[in-house]
Amino acid sequence: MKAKLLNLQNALRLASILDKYIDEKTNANAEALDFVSAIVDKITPDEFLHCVNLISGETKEAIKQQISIDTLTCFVEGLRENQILSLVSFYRSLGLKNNA
Amino acid sequence: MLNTPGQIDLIATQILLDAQAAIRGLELFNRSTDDAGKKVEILKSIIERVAAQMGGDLAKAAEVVAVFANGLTGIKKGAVEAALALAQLNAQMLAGGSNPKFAGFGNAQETNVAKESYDNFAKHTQIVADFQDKKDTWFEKDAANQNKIFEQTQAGYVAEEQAVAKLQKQKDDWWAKDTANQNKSFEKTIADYKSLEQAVPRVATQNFGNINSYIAQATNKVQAWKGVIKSVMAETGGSVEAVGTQLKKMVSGASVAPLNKAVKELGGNFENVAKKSKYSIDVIRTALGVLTAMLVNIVLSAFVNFFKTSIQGAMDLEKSLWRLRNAEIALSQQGVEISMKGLTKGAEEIAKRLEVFTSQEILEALSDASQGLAKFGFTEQQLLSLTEGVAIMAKVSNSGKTLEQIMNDVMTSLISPQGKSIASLNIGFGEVVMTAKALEKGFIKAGEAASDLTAEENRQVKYLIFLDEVNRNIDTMGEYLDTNTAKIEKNTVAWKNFSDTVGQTWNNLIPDMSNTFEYMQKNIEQMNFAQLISDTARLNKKAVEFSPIVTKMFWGIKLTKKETHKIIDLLSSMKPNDILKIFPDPAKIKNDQVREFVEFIVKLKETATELPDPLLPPHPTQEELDAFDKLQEELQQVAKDAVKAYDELRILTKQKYAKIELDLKLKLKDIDTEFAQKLEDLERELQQKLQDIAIETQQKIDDLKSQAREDEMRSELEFQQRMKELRQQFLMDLDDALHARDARQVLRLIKQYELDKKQALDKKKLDDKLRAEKLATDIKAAKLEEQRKIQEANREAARKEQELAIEKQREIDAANLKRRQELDALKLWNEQEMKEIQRHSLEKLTELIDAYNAEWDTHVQYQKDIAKLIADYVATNEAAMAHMYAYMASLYTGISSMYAGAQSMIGGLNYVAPSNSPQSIYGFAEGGSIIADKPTAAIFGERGRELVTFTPLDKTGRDVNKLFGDTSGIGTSGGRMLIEMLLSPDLEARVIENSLSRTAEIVARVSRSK
Repeated sequence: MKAKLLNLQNALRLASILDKYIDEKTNANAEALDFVSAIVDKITPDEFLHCVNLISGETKEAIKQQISIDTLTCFVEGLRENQILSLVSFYRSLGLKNNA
Repeated sequence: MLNTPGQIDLIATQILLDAQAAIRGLELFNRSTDDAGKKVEILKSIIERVAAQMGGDLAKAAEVVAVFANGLTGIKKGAVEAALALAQLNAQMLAGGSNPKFAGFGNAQETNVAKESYDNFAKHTQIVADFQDKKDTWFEKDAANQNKIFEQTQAGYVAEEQAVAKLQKQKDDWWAKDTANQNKSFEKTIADYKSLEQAVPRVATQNFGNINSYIAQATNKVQAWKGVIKSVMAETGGSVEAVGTQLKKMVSGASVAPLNKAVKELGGNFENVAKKSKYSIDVIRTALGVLTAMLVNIVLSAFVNFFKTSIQGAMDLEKSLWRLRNAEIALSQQGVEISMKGLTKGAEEIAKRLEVFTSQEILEALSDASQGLAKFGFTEQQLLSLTEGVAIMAKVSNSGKTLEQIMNDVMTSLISPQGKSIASLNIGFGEVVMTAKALEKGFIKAGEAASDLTAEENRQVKYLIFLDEVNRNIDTMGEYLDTNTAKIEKNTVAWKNFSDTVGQTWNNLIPDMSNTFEYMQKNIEQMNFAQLISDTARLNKKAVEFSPIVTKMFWGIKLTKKETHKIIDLLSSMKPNDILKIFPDPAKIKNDQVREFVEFIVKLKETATELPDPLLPPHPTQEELDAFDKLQEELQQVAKDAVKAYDELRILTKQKYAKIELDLKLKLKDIDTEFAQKLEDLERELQQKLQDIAIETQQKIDDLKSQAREDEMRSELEFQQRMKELRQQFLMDLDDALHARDARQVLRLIKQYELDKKQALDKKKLDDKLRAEKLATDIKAAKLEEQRKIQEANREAARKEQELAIEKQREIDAANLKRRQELDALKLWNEQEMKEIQRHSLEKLTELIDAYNAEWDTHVQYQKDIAKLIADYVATNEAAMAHMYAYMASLYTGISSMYAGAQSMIGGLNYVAPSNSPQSIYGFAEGGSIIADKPTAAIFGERGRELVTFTPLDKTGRDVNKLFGDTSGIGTSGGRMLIEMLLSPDLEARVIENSLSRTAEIVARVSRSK
C-alpha cells in the first residue's frame, strides 16, 4: 500500500478524524514516534481503518487483508505526505468543526 | 474471502492493536538506550510478530520492519539485520526441539551450545553497539580532536602539493637551462634525466659485459668506444656528452683517453647533423608558409572557379541558343518547317542518348548546322539527324577532331558540289557511290549519272550517304559507351550540365557577374598575397615590422617604395616554385600590384640562378630532396583534410542549429494553438454562463408572475366569498326586519349592506395594488441580481484570461530557455569539435615531422623550432579560415547566411564561460525543486518572496515538524496560508505554505492542466 497526496476534500476528512487526537500544543521538538504513538493509542479501530482507507485509496476490505505493520507504515507515511500538522491547522482555521 | 459484518470490528481492532504493539516496541527500543542486546531483542520480537502474520517469513518481515522502523525512529538496517539473525537462530533452535531461553529443554549439550552461541551473539552485538555508541559520542563531543586530524591531513596534502610544485620547478629549471641534454624527445628526456645515471651503466654492462675488458680487447679503441656510446645512446636516449660522462665513471686509466676522443669525434658528427637539421627547418618553414597561403587559396579558388566556369558555360549555352534562334528565323522565312522548340528538344534528346556530350555541345553543333545549312532546304529532322550523326562519328572516327570541327567538315562537303569526301571521317562521295544512292532514292533514272543531279539533290544524296556511314558505326558507338573512358566522360558531362545550370541561375540572379568576379578575384589575390607576406614575416620573426604593410595590403592601399623593397627582400627567401604554387600563372593575376610583385620575384629568381640559394643544402642528395618533397605533400594533405573537416563541421553545426530553431518554432506554434483553444473554451464557458444567468433570471421572473397570478386568484375568490357572505347575512337580517315590520331597521340594513360591499371592494383594490407593486419590485430585484451575476462572470472570465496570458508567457519563456540551453550545448560541442580537428591536425603534423626528424636525425633545438612552426601554422590556419569565411560572407548574402548559420550563431550567443566554481548556481525565481547529492549553491528570492525548505532524504529525522508539517500555526492567530490545488489529473490539493492559523488568510492557488 502506498500513501497518497490527498485531494482537498479527503484531506479535510482526514483532518476532521485526527483533529481530536492532535494536541494544539504539540511541541515542535517532540519525537515523531511519540506523536504517532499518541494518535494510535487514542484512535478507534474504525477511525484508524478510515484514515488508512483515505490515505491509501484502498477499500477497507482490502486493507484488512494486509499485514498490520504495512497498514501502520502506510498510516505514518500518509500523515507525513499530507503534512498532517499543517493540514489540521488549516482545518481548524476554517471553523468547520461541529463544536466550533 | 470477505469478512462478515460481525468480524469487521474484530479485524480492525486487531490491526490497531498490532499497530499499537509495534509502536510500543519502537518506544521500548528508544528507551533502552544502554542495552544494545535488549534493543536487538525488541526488534527481534517485532520481526517475529510481523512474521507470524506473513506465514513465518522472517526475512520478509525484517524488510517490512526495517522500512517501518527507519521511517519513524531512524533505526538502521544493520540493527534490523542483527535482530533478524537472532530471530532466525531462535527459529532454528525451536525447529530442532531446543529453546535457548529455557534450561533443561532438549538435551544438555545442545542447550549449552545454543546458549553459548546466543550469549556470544548477544555479547558481540553488545560490543558492536557499544563501539557505535562510543563512536557517536566521540563524533558529537570530541570536535577538537577531529579538527586536529583534519588539520594534520590537510597539512599532509599541502606538503605533498609543495613537493610536487618543487619537482615541477626543478623540471622547468632544467628544461630552461640544460639545453645540451635535450637531444631527444621530451618524454624520453624526462625519463632519462631521472635515470641516466642508472641507465648508462646498466645498458653498457648488458650490451658489452665488463666495459673495461671489452675496450681493452678492441684493436681500435676509439672505434670501439664510438660503438659503445652509440649503442647506449640509442637505448637511453642520452646525449653524447651525457653518455660519455656516465661511461667515464665506469672506466679507469688507459680507457679514458680513447673515450674522450670518441666523444669528440661523435660531437664533430653532431655538428654535421645540426647543419642538416638547419636545412630541414628552413625547408619546413618555407613549406608551412606556402601551405598557409595555399589553404586560403584552396577554398577560395574552388568557389571562384566553380562560379566562373559555371557562368562561362551558361554564357556559351545562351550564345548557342541565340544562334539557333537566328537560324530558326531564317529557315522559317524560307518556308522550312522548323521550330526553336523542336530543335532544342531534339538537341536535349541527342545529348541524353549519347551521354558523352553536354547539352551545350550538342546545341552548339546544331546551331552551326542550322545556320550553315539554313538556306539549303534541310528540314528540322534532317538537321537533328545530321547533328547526331556528326556527334557519333566524332567519337568513333578517332580523327582527334572536336565535334565542332567535324561539323564544319561535314557541312563544307555537303554544301560544296565539288566536295568529293569528308576526309576527316574517311567518307567518300565518288561518282559511283553518288549515282547508286541517287538511283536508289529516285533522284535520277537509269542511264543518268550523279553529275545530272541538281545542287540541292547533290546535297541530299551526300547527306544520305553520310547517314548510311553513321548507321554502320552505331554499334561501335554502343561499345564505346560501355568503355571506362566513356563512363568518365559521362561523369564530366553530368558535372558540366550541373554547373551550366548553376551558372544560368546565377546569370538570372545577377545578370552581369563578370565584373563582380573580376573584382572578387582581385581582392582574393590581394588578400592571398597579403596573407603570404604576413605568414612569411611571422615565420621570419618580423611580424611586428610587417604588420602595417600587411594591413595596407589587406585594405588595398598603395605601398611606398621602401615598403615594396622590404617585401621583395622578405620574399626573396622563397623559391619561385613555392610562389607559383599560390599563383600558378602570374600573367593572369588581375590585381596589378600583386601581379607586379609576383612577376618580379619569379623573374628575379629565374634570372639569378647562378647565385647559391641560401635554403639549399651544400650538397643535397636526391634521397633528401625526395624526403622533403614527400613531407611537403603530406603536410599539404593534412591541411586539406583539416579544411574538409572544418567544412563538414560547419554544415553539421548549421543543421543542428536549424533543428533547434525549428523545434522552437514548432513549440511556439503548439503553445499558440493550445492557448488559442483555451481562450476559445473560456469564451464558450462565459457565453454559456451568461445564457444560464439569463435563463435563471427569466425563470425567476416567471415564477414571481405565476405566484402573483395565484395570489390574485386567491384574493378574487376570497372577495367573491366575502360578497356572498355579506349578501346572505343581509338577506337574513332583512328577512327578520321584514317579519318584524321594522322599516327603519330595513333601511339601516340596506345602508349597512351597501357600506360593507364598498369596504370589501376597496380592500380588494388596495390588495391588488400592493400585490402589483410587490411583483414589480421583485422583478426589478431579479433583474438587478442578473446584472450582478453578469458582471461577476465577466470579471471571472477576464481574470482567467489574464492567468492564461501569464501561463502562456511562462511556457514561451520555458521554450526560449530550452532553446538557449540547447544553443549553449551546441556552441560547446562546436568548440570541442573545432579543438578536436585542431588537435588531430596538430597530432598528424607532429607525427609527420617526428617521423621526418627520426629519419634525418634532426637536432632537438630544431625540433622545438619545428614544433613552434607547426603551432603557429595551426593558429594561422584557423585565422585564415575565419578570415576567408568572413570575406566570403561580405560578398554574398547566400554565403553570408551559410556562414552566419554556423559562425555568428556560435559567436553571438553571449555565452558565459563557466566560472571556477565547481558547482552551478541554480536560480529559482520561477519556483522549482532539485535533489542535491553534493554541496550545491542556490539563489532564491531574487524576484520577490519565496518559501524555502530543505529536507534531508538519506535520513528521515525525528523532528515532528519535518515529518508532519509546521506546528507553529497551532494556537496562534493571524497570518497567511497557501493552498495549492492541482485539479488535474488526480485532483490533488495540498497545504504548501502555512505560517499561522485560526484567523488565517486563505489563499488558494489553482492550477489546471490536461
